[in-house]
Amino acid sequence: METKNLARNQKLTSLIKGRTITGTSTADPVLTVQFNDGSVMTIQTDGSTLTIADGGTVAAVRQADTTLQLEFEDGSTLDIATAEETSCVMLRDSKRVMEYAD
Amino acid sequence: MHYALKAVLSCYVALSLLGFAGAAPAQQNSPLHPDPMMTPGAVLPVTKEDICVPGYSKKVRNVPVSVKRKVYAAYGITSYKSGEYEIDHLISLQLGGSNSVKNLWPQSYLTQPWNAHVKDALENRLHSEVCKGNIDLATAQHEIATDWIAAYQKYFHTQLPLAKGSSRSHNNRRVPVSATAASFDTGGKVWVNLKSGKYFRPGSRYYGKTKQGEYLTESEAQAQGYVAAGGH
Repeated sequence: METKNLARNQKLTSLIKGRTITGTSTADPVLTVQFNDGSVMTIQTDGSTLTIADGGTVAAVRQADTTLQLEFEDGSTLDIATAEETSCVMLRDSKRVMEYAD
Repeated sequence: MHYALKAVLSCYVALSLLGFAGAAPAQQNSPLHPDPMMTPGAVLPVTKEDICVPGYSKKVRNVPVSVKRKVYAAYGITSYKSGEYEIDHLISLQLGGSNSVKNLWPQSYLTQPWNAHVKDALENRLHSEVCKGNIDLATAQHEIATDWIAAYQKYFHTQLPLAKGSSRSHNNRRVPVSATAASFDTGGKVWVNLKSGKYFRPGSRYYGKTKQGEYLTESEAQAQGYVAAGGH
């Protein structure tokens, strides 16, 4: 993936910073990420295949154009290609109350 | 997980059932309406329960400047002055509209009598009616996406925009837009900021001023979870 100037998504970072990924699943074109607190983030992707290892703890979220980047506490990053520049990410807490949408 | 996927997909199903893509307002080339091909409207997979929580709109990401630029460019607007336009959500955030470019268009603040300020009033009215259970969310989304002026005329029972703060329920008489602030009558109600979840009493500098808001009695505001701004 080409290098992009990714800006920190403060709103989403403040919500999921410190949450650890416990599971993921894909049902094209939607990637579902489950966190250790029971919250679930859905991402409409461009359909490309992704491998996400469980156990990563989110440190920050960055975004530009159709790239959503998760930065983990161990310094690794994961770039996810979204279907659109906006309107692709939704986060709900363990009670399915909406925490974030874009 | 299954719930989330179902919610995302149901969003698009709902859109196509409502015929957004094919909706063509009569005045499609008018600056008062968005181009229905570029901006048919798009919604998030949210429910009435989601949008009626105070502060809901604050949970939605702000539209990135890069996206706003693309919307201006798509509409052929190459230069504009501050205060001339806003990048409007055709289906407003408070009605579950999304930040997709399919839901964004440059709306003028300056056209008369229909402009972005008037549409804001409609958005607040529809949100209130949905949360009171008087109309369902899908209907509100469809009507504002199809022809927001017709929706305004329908829900405000008027052919021309009412002055801010006026209401037929107060005096059953339409007040033209050019009416002065002295004609405003809010009946001692508080002003709730739908985005922040706070409410303001008459006399506050923000009373009736925030973009997303509505007048409610103080008990209604508190019952709906709004809190007094400044803790008083």
